[in-house]
Amino acid sequence: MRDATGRGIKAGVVDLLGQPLDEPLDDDAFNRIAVRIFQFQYARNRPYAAFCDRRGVTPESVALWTDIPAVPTAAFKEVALVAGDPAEAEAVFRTSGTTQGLEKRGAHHILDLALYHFALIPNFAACVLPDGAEMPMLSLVPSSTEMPDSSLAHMVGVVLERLGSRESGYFATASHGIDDGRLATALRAAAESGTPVCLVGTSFAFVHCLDRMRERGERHDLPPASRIMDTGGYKGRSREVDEAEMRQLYGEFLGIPASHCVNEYGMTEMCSQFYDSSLRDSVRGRERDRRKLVPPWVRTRVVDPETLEPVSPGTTGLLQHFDLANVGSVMAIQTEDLGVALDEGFQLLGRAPGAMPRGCSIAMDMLLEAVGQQQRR
Amino acid sequence: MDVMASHLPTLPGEAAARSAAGGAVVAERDGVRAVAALLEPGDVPAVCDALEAACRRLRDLPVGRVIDAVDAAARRLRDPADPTRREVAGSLTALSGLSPAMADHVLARVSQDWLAPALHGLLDAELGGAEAVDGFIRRGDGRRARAIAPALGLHVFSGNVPGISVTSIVRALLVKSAVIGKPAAGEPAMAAAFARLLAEADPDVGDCVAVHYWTGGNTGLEDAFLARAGLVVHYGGEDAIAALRARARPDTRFVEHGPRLSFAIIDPAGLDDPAAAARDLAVATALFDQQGCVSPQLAWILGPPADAAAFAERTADALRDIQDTLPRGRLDAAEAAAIHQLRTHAEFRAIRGDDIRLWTGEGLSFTVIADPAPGIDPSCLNRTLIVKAIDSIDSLVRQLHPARRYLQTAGVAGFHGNRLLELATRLGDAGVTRITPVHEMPWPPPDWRHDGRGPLTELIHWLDLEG
Repeated sequence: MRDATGRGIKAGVVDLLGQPLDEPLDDDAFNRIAVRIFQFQYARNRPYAAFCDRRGVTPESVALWTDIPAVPTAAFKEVALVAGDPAEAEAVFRTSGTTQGLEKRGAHHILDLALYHFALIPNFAACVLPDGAEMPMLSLVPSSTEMPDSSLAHMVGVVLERLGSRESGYFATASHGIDDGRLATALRAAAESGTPVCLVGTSFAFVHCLDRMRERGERHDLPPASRIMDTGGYKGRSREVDEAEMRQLYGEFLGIPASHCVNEYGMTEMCSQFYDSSLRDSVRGRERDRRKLVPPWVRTRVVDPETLEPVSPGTTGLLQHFDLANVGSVMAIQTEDLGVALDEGFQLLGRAPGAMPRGCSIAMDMLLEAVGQQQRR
Repeated sequence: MDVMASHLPTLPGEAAARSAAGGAVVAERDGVRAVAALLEPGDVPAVCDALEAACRRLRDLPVGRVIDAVDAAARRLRDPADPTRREVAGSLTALSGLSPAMADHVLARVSQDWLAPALHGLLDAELGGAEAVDGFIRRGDGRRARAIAPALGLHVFSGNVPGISVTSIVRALLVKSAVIGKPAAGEPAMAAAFARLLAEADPDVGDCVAVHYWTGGNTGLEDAFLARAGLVVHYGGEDAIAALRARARPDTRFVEHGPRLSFAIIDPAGLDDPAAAARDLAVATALFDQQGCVSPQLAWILGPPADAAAFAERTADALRDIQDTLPRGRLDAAEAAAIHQLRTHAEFRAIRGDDIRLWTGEGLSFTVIADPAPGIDPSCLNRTLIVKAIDSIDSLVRQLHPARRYLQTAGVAGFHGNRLLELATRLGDAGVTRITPVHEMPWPPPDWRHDGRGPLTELIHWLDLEG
């Protein structure tokens, strides 16, 4: 970050990123830095300032983090939401397109990759490696050199390098998909040597992978402490399997118990991620329902889908995240993800499905697809 | 309040006992429960036997009996004091999510089509009169003809426009075809209530109608009905229609009313009263909360973008007024998120410097977007209207082309005489099947050629008797 104010704020945020996961920031502390970030973003991020102005919100009117307008993720498809010069971004992560390939892709400009890494590493370690284990990480996500646009590929690359053991590696490429043979060999070797491994990949990659294992009659009984981090939806790229069924399959085909299955929820538009509490709870002997943990430098609110006002506790609504690590873009993000608030976190209920007409009016998706087919011809 | 999502006058004893002990709850909200009977695939042959027997009896009766029974049932649905009417209206608000004002308005309007004069008109327009279903009508040259419908039809209803289910049942009864109707989860009660009213009005007619809700894709029940139905009438989404069609018997007449796109085309230069035209467009957009196949998703305004924006603003003003008299219904999270998303795209395109404009009502009550970019941008419905400038009918026809197979109603304003005829010809070539003044868009006449086909003739075949 070249901007002096930005660097000052970054230093403050970096301090917070060292905060242990179980020590939430009090509202005052969160407020102080959130309001500073808002002032900075209002001054440096023109489209965001215009968005705030249209709502009558200015730095003068913001006293609490809850006053800060949250930008819908759709906005990242229309403008560069960056607190500075987009040309100075150290990385630009893009959302994946839909199956129609027509929809615009959202772009998240990262002014400061170091900050991204500061948010990523301690949180991953606390949730996926809460026992302090260092083990081979086997990635079904292609490397970031192949997919420079992908925040997930970047994230996995950093995690493999900083947190994985020397035997970590990639078992998929963007062009050829998963290398089943090499993966099977690595899994067999792990089982034989008794070395636990950490598998990392998207849920849809694992669905494909497990489907083929079933076809081949292949099963692995990975050593205790082996674990899996899966992430993301399916977006029509594989058959849909619900999370509980996935965990059952991980147990059946890989010998990984549900406690060691950690689902990640991340968004291209955010520098911070959320992970299941399951493994952390298991290591600490804590019993409670699985939930996504919110790191201290993030606040997540559940809002009414229509009014975008906070809902009463226990009610399902859309998730709104305030991510202090998003200093260089927009801190307050309005998602289309449904969830319900729980103690220390939330339960993710998935993406609000595409709105379907109740009958004979054509759905948006269908029409876009028809228009797209014509345009491609 | 419990409302029934089944009406099975001829349910076999065992199934009746099963259901009496407690049916399946189809939907429950705001104190209203829709309950379906517990029907098993093994019960279906007996249900179908009874329906076919009732149909044979009906064929020996004059169609006037059908008209009288439908008329009597419709009158009860039109009577605000009638308990069944109250039940239906309660279900439309609690389970379908319509505002009470919308439920009353739609119920009053749609039920007009089920009164005796409308039914006579429909038989006359479609089949040349009631005689064609009661016996043979003369065709000249000494030839005679009779309309024959399959004895039993499976009707799958959608829940977007209240009353589609009843209209479908009425059409079948007018050609003396018995009905097994499957309501939509979103509108589970009206078809069964109407069937019950029919049975009360005239048991001979009522015996020809069974209604039962099951979860779509319950192949056991579906296959059992498909094995017996000579006719399938399916309202709904493309995938659901394709899935059922693939399993229907090859000799089954399959009548589908799949997803459609309707729009308005307006020439401001030809309008006497632009504010009234904008109100008409707003009403057409607001009715059924835009879920009807006849509801406009886009409006093209002939002329420069500034004219389109001016018309869009008037339409937004009218939608704001309508929210007071005919409020929008309930949104689910996905619907609300879709509107937010569409608004966000428009807002940030404006921030980026595009000449796009956005008008919104309080909360998500309505959204009007004036977008200068060419092409078909679909609305996400629930009173979300996209307004676009168009410089010529030629370019409109070009822009419509990708959506050709989905086009249905074009609402027209500001075109008269030969220009209207010319426009109609061009739109017809583009795939549109109905052209009407904007204010008529939501309410096609009872004998309209729905998706270009006759509402009764699509159910029957003709038997010709020569010599």
